[in-house]
Amino acid sequence: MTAVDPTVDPDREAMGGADPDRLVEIDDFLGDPDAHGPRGLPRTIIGWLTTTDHKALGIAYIVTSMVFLGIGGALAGVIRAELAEPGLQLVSVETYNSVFTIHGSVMVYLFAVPFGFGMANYLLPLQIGAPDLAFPRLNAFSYWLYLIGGAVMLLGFVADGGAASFGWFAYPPLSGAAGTPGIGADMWIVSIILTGTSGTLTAVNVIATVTMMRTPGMTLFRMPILTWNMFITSFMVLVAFPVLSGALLMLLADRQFGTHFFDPVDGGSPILWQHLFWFFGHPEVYIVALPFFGVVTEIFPVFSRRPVFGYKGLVLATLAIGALSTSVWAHHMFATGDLVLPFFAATSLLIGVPTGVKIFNWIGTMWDGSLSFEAPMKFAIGFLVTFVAGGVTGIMLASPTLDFHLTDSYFVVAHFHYVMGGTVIFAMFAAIYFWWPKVTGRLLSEKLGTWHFWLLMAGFNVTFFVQHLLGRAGMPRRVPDYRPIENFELWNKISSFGFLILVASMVPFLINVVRSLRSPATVGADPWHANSLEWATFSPPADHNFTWLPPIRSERPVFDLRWINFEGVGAPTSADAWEARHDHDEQWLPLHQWSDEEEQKRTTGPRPIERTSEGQSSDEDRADGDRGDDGEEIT
Amino acid sequence: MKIEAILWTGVAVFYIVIGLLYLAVGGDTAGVVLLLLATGLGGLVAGWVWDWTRRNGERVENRADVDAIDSTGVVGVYPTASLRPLALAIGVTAMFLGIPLGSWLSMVGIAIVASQVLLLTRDTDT
Repeated sequence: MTAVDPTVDPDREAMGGADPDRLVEIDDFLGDPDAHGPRGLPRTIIGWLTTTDHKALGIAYIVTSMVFLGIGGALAGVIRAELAEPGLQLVSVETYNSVFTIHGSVMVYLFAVPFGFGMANYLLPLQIGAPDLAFPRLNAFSYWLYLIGGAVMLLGFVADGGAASFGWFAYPPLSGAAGTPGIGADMWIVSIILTGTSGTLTAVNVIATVTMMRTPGMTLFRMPILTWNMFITSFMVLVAFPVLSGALLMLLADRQFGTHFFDPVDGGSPILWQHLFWFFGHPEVYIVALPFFGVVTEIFPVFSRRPVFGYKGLVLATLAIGALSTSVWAHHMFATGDLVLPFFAATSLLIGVPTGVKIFNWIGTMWDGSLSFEAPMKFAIGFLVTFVAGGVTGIMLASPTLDFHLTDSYFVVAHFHYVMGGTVIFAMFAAIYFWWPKVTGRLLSEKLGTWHFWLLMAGFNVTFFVQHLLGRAGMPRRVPDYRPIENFELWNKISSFGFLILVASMVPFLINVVRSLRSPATVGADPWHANSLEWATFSPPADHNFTWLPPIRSERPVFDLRWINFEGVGAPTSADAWEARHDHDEQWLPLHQWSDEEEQKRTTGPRPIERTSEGQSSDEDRADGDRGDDGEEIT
Repeated sequence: MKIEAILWTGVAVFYIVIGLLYLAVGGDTAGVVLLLLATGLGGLVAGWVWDWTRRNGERVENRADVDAIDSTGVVGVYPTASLRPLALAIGVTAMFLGIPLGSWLSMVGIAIVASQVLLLTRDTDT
């Protein structure tokens, strides 16, 4: 074999191959992390404003969405403070309406979905062995559209008449020109059109990347579940988001150009809005949730030291959820009465089946495993607990008879915050603790992580569990005031107190982040001994991600590599583990190389990325036939 | 790309089945139309993927026994850093915000978008 480059050409001695009992470390293969040019994020403002790197944009998405989480959380603080006692203490009724509208809109449109897109940006190309997303500039455009669109929504607060005040689903006629005359409402509509378009473009990017840019050997059914879930989520985005954008344009036309799409006086139909909105709105909750299902599916196997249980079952369950979620929309509209109730009740109950399959598989993954409870695992289990609690009330609400009683009460608020809030927050922190070493090259403190977890667990459940009781006793949603009947006063106080614990839980997290960022970056490529391909590169990854790739023979290529000396585990046959792999070892080559030195030095203009065979004559013929000459030009 | 094609065909088939079922049980017009349009979306992509597979054959990425070495050559040409995506996003925002705030803003937005799209397309020549 022709030596290519000592830093990327693994040799058996160097990686401990002579000692069959030694577990191979990924770092043994990688060599000097700084030998391949710059790593990490842009260091200048211009760098950030102009970047098209999927990793930088992924971090930008995640940081921006966390800032929006802070804003949405502050608005939630206003709501809980107002409701802590009966009567109006803090804000006027109009302001309260704006506050809960923007709280909901920020959390759903500007935090939960974009955080998922941020993870897709950062992790998806790494997990499939690609150098970037398929359309990097489109990706940058999506991000800026999201950031500016989000700012437009918040600027509504300083507009004449205040921010939008019709709830995050904007039912007409309340959201019409007569119902909400202010300019803030129009800005809300424009904002959602912009962020929705941003999401649609990201979905196109993700689908193109997964379809066309997987590295050889990474067949669809070897992709990590997180990538699968992003892929399926993107299908759903393509079905759902354009419908919302269309409906919002109709609403904007009603308000600005005097059309009558949703105006019953002139033959329009407010119910039409509800159908269009919820045709987006229900897939939306799964668009939010599926990436986070993917996150915990990455985490459970690592901390259980077992392969994921029922890989194909999980993929099929995700597909089933994706499909069914677009045919359940009108269960949000049971109370309108103008519906085929059995159809939507049946599909809504049916969606519990694939969701149950997923929960079964997660438990199956942990069952009999060698569990350890590092911070990512704690948060992933926290996710499981809150998600099951929210799922159970979801089954209750899917029954029209119960829904008629509970609709528009705090029971729905509690259900919604368990499935959307708890699921997203716990899985989000699981993701942050899990991939933090990959992104920064540093670890987060386990001790502070434990404080963070238990405070969040307590705060979340104290805040939202009593809201079930409030709703059952009849407290309506979206009211700033209530009479001191039943136990309303006590339960609301408990809920507001829980919010304070929630806020307190962010303190150890922030300390943790700051302390970690100030420590030296010393973590290797694979600190958790994980499974998927993003752990086969440096932390933080090199420019365009990989300097070489291991052979991919299962859905856990990094695991296979670490166990390569062990017969029957990492090795595919019972023959000598190393010999069985010999053919592949010869092919461990730098995957992405610049085509020549001159191209690399250029700072402007497109940069070609090349996979080279470097004298592997036996493979050159094949290479010519594949993609040798007609490399796709991706801009 | 057979599995991709099957996936997208599955999307189309699911929506036509559920759409016709919804029509049969007396669903609302908007819902039926949306479901059938989703059939079109799935069918469009499925058709493209089938056709791509028919013309180009199976891609090396979908074989189970290959390595990085099996697909060599120029993988892609990646664009460098650029201010255009940001400018384009500002332009699009101005275009839409002009609807409630005044048509002058839309005009500015259209000018930015047009210039940036032009510059973006010219970028790819170099």
